[in-house]
Amino acid sequence: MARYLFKRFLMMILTLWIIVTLTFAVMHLIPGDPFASESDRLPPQVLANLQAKYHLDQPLPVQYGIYLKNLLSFDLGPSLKSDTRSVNDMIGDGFSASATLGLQAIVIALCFGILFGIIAALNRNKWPDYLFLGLAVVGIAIPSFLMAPLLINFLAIKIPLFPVATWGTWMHTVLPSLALAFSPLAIITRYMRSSMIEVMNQNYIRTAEAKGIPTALVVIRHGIRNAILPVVTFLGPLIASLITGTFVVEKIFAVPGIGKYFVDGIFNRDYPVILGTTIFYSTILITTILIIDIAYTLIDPRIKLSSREG
Amino acid sequence: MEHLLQVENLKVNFKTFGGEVKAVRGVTFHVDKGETVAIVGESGCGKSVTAQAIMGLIPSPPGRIVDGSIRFNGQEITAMSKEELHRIRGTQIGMVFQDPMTALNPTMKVGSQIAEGLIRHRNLGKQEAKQKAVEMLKLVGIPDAAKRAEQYPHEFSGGMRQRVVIAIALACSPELVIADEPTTALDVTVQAQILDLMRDLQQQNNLAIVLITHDLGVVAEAAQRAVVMYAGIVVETGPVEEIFARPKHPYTWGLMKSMPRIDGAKERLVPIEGAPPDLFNPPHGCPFAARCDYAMEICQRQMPEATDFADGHKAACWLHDERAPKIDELVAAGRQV
Repeated sequence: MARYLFKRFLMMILTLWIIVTLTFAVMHLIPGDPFASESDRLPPQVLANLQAKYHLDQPLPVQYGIYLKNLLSFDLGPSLKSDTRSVNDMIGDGFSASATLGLQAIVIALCFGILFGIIAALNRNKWPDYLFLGLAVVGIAIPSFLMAPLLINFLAIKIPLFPVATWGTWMHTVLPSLALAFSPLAIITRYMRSSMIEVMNQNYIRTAEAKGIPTALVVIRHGIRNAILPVVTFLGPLIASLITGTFVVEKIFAVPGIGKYFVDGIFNRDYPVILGTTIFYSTILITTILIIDIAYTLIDPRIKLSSREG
Repeated sequence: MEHLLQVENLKVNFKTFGGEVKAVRGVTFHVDKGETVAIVGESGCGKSVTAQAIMGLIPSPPGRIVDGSIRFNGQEITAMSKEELHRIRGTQIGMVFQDPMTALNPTMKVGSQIAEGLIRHRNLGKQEAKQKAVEMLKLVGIPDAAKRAEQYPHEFSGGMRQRVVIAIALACSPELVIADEPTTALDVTVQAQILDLMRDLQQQNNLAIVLITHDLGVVAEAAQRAVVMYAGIVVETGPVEEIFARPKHPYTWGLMKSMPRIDGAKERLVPIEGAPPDLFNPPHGCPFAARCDYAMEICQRQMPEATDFADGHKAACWLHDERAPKIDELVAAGRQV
């Protein structure tokens, strides 16, 4: 186990290095530069000074080397568009809001997705099944930028239960979390339903029933644990993408998350911001995938972590 | 005397997109305390459905018991509520399934799977139940039982898993065990071990066993009486020695001829030509008529009544009607035997 984790850790570093290198290369292939919009307003001397301050006048390999060196001390560099804030600051400020929303959305999606999936599976081809499958289709089909205004309209304006937008109390987090949760909830419902239907047809379910265990307990003890693996697989990328912020929902609800930094960074050619947010997202994704892999072994004893296969 | 299990005129249908399949069409047999009754027949003859009906495990929908009664210890199983069924399953009737590779929950320790029923029905605490589970594992011949109880099914071989399945079925000491093809998925050598084990346990506990199989070798080895099923009906039933020595139904003859023998001449095995009838629209007459070498006109039109022979040996075939020509005459008239 320790050996396996060490090996996975090395792989993580290697993966991150590849991601940094590729992002760095692709980023510089985009035409334009960070100060393009200011270049006609600023005197050439000022521009040259700015370029020099951020090492933009150096050849690319040198810039790459400087960036890697700083990265080793977890310094993601300064933002080219803000003279006071570094990329570390931006992520530090925005992450707590994004993570709060993301985690709440995941909890909502998981709990209700699994519950609805089980109910649908156990009532296959009856009305609860059609109801939840229908809801799932709606959930997948409605994008979050439509879902968010709908939620605001009904739960904040028509029935003023929650604040319309902005950030502050826990009440402010409810609507954006719901908006974020809707489509993963729908997907988890579908995964759980089909996996549960498959499991409930397995022979060991009949064995459990033949033991005289009531159906509800059969589902809880023998069904869920065997049916949940596909959901867990889906959870890895889901967690990473939700807790690292989503541009649309954060924008609509005026949440100070990190979603906007990534998009703004690309528009501004703010190289350190693009790289920094990418690295941050990748690190979280790789870490959650590792956690998911460990979770597999806890859920299904047939799955073993082994450094030979890993 | 009241039988331990009395199945009477059982009829089970399954709804499918193509219509209603009449899987079991009037099955009658009984099982007494301490005896083994084999239900024999080819795939799709309704033997497993009969077993599931006895356990109250017919998936509904699509399945339903249309008619008939299943009396166990004087109680009518077909009329039981879900709660009553849960109380009977495991405690009074245990079940051993066909495929030990899939009959155990892969994510639950073997000991816990045995203990589960004990905790439920015997009101044992967790520790007591675990100890009893280890005892059960010892009883079914699993070495190092205490350690094995903490392992998962994938750490067991096929034969060992079937022993675990048997331990689960017997944990709450039921009076009747229904074994649905318990040896089909196992190696021949392991088959013999499992059959021996079941016989030992049967003698120790005065257990009744319904043994469902398509293997006449298993019937000869393990059962006292046999019920031969074809296309949802019982075509022949009686003591195993009688059925092997003096089979009365042409289907049973066909089964015997299609079975390899160790002793005697090396004969070519003779398959039964054709396929069983469509159970969406089962024939009015004898379902075997279309494949039968001795079929007469009446066989197509009317279901034969059971004829009684010695020792409860019965067969449902028009050949045994007193008006029917003798078999020799049919052979003389040019029929293949």
